[in-house]
Amino acid sequence: MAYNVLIVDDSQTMRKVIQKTVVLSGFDIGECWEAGDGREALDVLKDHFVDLILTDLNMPGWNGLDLLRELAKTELYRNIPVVLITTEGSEQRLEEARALGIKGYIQKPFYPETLRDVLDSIMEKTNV
Amino acid sequence: MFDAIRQAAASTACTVFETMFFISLFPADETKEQTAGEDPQEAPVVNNVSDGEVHEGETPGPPCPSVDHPVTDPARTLYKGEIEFRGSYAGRMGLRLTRELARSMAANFMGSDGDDIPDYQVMDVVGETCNVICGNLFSTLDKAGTHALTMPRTEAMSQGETEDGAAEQQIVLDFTAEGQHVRLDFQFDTYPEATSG
Repeated sequence: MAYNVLIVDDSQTMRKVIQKTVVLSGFDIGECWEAGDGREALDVLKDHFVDLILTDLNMPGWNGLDLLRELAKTELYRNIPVVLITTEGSEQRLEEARALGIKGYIQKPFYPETLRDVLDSIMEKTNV
Repeated sequence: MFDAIRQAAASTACTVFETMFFISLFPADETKEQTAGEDPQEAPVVNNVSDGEVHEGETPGPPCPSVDHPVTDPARTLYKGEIEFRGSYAGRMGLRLTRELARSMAANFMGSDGDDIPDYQVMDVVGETCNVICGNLFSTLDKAGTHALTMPRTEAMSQGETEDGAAEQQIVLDFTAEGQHVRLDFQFDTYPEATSG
């Protein structure tokens, strides 16, 4: 089953690299959309069906936590699994993100295999 | 002073370069003398960037290879990235490397040949490198704390531009990577008291 993925990061380069890494990892990716911050991500979600969101935490404008709060408010979006891909490693911030419902977290830099393991595990649980 | 930060920073930088760019960083004190008469275009690739000087850990770092350095192309541009951090450690980090190395990093990172990567994406990679090194370093040094990072700033500078020597509460780390010089420097405004021992 191919999954439609939304990648949210303020760095266009990083978005492309994440996309390539997801493909390289062998994860079954269908459509892939990009957004530069949380607000753009919501615009994408209005027009496209997304199975999985990969988002950075620290972004100008709406950051990853702002996006999580908005997703939680909408029944249509609150069950979309969200994975943080970020440099952030502080327990405090991660706890905040977990409380807002992230399903996984990957710290940059990461290997494709690590990404694949996390994504497979999350989508397995989501499909059960 | 700052030994723990220095070691953690060096280790973090090496890990980031290897994981993100498949490039090995070597501390610049692991150098060998360049043989007189060597063709600068065929200079050894690794562990040989220096002008022969030995650079002590805490002394101000050497300037980047000067225009007179035999392996330096006078037309080569340097790329610089800078990021600020705030938390129990506060200050700024700078990363300086040659355009050539930055292009190589971008090519490896993006899985392309390199020639077709626009300059703004290469600069983006330099900025992201600063972001990842800083984020990982302070997560390691202060796991329980929170550090805010600014958006990285990047700029190109000419080979001849030099900067002030290391100031108090500054750490300068010099490396070589693919025969190119890489400098990482940290300027601290505040740091936990235990660090200063």
